[in-house]
Amino acid sequence: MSAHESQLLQVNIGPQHPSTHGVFRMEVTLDGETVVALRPVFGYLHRNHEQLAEASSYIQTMPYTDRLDYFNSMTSNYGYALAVERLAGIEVPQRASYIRALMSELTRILNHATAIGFMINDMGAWHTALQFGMREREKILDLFEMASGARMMCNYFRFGGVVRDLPPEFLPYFDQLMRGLPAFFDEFEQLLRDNEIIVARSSGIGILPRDVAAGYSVTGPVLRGSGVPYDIRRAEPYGIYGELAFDIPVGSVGDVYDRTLVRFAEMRQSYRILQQIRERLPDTGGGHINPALANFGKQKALRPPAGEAYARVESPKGELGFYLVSDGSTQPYRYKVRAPSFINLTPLGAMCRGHLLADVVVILGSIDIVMGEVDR
Amino acid sequence: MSDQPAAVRLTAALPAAWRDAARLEAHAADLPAVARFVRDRLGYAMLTNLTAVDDLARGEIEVVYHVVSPAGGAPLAFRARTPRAAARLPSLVACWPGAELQEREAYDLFGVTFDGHPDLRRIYLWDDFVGHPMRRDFPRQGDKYIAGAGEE
Amino acid sequence: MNRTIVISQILVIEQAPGWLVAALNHAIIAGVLLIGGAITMMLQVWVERRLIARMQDRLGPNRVGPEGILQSIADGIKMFTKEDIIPRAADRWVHLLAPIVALAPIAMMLAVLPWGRGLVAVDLEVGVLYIAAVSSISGVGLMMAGWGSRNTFALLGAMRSIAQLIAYEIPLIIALLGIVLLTGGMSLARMPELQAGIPLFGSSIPGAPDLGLGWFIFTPVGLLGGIIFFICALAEGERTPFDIPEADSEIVAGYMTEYSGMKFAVFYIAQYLLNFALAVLSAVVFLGGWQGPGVAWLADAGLGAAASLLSLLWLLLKAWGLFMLMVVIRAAVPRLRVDQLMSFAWKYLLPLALVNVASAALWVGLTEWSSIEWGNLLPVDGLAPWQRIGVAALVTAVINLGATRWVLRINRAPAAAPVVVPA
Repeated sequence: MSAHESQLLQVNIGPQHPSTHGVFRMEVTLDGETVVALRPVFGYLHRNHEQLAEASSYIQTMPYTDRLDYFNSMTSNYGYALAVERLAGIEVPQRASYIRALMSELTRILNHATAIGFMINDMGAWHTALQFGMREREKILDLFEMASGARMMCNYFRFGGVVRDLPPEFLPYFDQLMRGLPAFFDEFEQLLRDNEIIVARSSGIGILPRDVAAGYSVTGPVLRGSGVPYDIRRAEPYGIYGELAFDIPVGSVGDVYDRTLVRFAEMRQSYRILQQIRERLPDTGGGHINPALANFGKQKALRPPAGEAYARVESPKGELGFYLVSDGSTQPYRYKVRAPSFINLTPLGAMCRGHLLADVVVILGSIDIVMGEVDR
Repeated sequence: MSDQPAAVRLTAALPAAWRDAARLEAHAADLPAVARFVRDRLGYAMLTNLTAVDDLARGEIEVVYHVVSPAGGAPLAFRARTPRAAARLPSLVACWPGAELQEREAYDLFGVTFDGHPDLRRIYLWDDFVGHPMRRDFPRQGDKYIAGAGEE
Repeated sequence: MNRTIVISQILVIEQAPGWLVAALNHAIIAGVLLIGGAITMMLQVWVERRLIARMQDRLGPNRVGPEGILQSIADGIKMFTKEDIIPRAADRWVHLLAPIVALAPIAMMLAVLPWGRGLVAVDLEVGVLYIAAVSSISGVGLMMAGWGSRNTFALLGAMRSIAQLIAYEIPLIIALLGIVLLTGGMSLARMPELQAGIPLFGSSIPGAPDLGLGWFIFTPVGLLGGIIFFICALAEGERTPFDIPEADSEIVAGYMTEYSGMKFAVFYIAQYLLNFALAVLSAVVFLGGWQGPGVAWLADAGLGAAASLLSLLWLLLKAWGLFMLMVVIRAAVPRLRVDQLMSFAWKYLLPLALVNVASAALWVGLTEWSSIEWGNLLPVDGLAPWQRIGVAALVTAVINLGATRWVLRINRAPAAAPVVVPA
């Protein structure tokens, strides 16, 4: 190559592209097929979510957080509810906390199953892996529908609890799902972990070394895949996570393969957490919501005292943080979302440099982004 | 914040850097020194969140930095203020590469210029956009941009 | 061996001048092949979609016609009515000609394939050479499409397809070369005829029944050659895991990115037709072609037409089986990366194909040469033909197995599967 005079090729991947997971654009400079530089371009889905929230009352924003990460509306709800509760000093009953954690872990399983599926799709497998994940996701969405009435845009959380208790048909269906999950994990993991092409395509690709990963502010499976055992459920426990036993899986190299393995292991850990929650759930007391806020009018009229609060939850994609500043009125003075999908894209250019064009989409897939959250 | 010992150590180590030590509000010029101390001496290796807050009443923009330690614990928040009319702060990208996109976001939506940022461009809005929409006095414009569409 | 005579007899146009008869014959055969090709392509699309859907917990197209079998016709009508978009910056003529250049050589391939006992449109003495030559022309069409579209994705796709076609054509042809050595000729029409008899020994054992199972795939040379050929056929036909030139998740649709409407449909037809032609070719060369149990028996019983029909059925069965194997592979695995694709061609397939040619030569020597030709080094004259085949099979099996193991071992990447440790 060096003996010839080569011309760099500028390629726009996106905003309309099969594997940018929405309207995301990457300006890629190629030398042959090798990536020389990559610049992510954002904003095609920008709707100034934060400003809308600042013009709404606190509870009006709750359904809108569903639309941030539309795959994981439950954890988005959780983060926002947690921030407002911290700001206004609201107690959450024990049972509500258990239901919240249950929903969060179900969300994690569905997100990881489909995230792995989407990544394998980006590698060129014709949707088969994705369909495997989608099959389990449908069952979990059935559960969400039972509890909240909606499959994806759940709007289930309220300040001080959740909107309604679990319906009677929820737990039998949940138990049925739980019986099937280990077989699904085994099947899914075996199908993909032992596939030679997937291993060849993902190992050694998009390495984010352990010592720089934290500096790039990446969180979630991307950070843990690099070997940093950082999980907000352990680092700063919220809800009932302090009482639950689970391991934090970490990778060793920090490549795409490690991130995938971390997601596999996290699904199993979520299963473990769900087992513990299921065991203790019947004994929990306190109702599904704080009685002081059980009436929707009270939720609407919430006026947190002036001050600020930052709350974060471990969403399946990483640290989902909400920073709120209150001036004592019914609307937040400042509402900021710390979106994991967005900040995890910071090292994308560095991770892709020197790899081939085919690796770019795989690396992007391994970061697991949702454009609703990236562009907000 | 709740992480009192770290905040105490921070204020004690850099006594001159603070405009309001109780809120951990640093002078803009001292921000890089604070950041380096927080990262290297206090172990907060991750800048997890960077938020700009438009304080219309005081005519200032406050930028809040939430940093966390990979070892765990609650985040530490320190901040700096800059006048709205000429919002300008030193960039922390050299200290935390993770600040890159977040500083671009604050620049785009609040108009805070970060000196030393490697690639300070608008991130969400297009380059010819006028104004910074997250400022509290940004006028409500309706569908100004959509009405003009249709050419091209 | 001019099979077209049969047709002229059917038509009973004895008074017509000879050139007219020949022209009519060729036109009719070409028409039959092309219409058959189009129908095959529609069926292929339907089979592929349904089969993949079954593997993915879905139903697939099941609304248009019984079980959705007319879905492809509905799609075809949609294609016809779509706007034909030519990018402003494109080279109009190259853009227009590219699909035609891609399709024509593939249609030409169909001419020399023996579809059944006595059913071959053109019996070329150099059929294998013709196939190799013609099939590489379609690469020019792909390059024209990529270059003429003025689109970076299309250009990347075209570059990839050219690199891939060149890399895989070599082991493909060398795999065929082994069989050419065995048959001693390049005629494709003769290949199935040589695969009569029983597995491995063919018709060498006197008195053994002709089961039509003396397929080359049952010999060590044919087995290795067949596997290499099928892998290369996947790459030539741009099937997963080698669908790199049109990798939809990377470069949108590769060289087809800027095509719409009928031009896109022509590319689509070309691709499926090529897949089918390659499946037929694999069947003819390695799986006995139209040979199968019952064909020889019917022919001996004097039912020539029935034998031909049965033989056609056997060939189609084998070809569809291979096509379905391609579909299953597509649904099961992701695609390789460009560099992995190249190293697979040059580091695995090419050396194995070369070893296979050597094995084939040894096979011919052990089965057909006399002791004098061996320089009296090997006393092969005393052995019966089936004994000689047994010895040859043993020797070549050892060589091919050893070579395969060796190639796999020297190319093994250092195992680097990271271990997840719970914190």
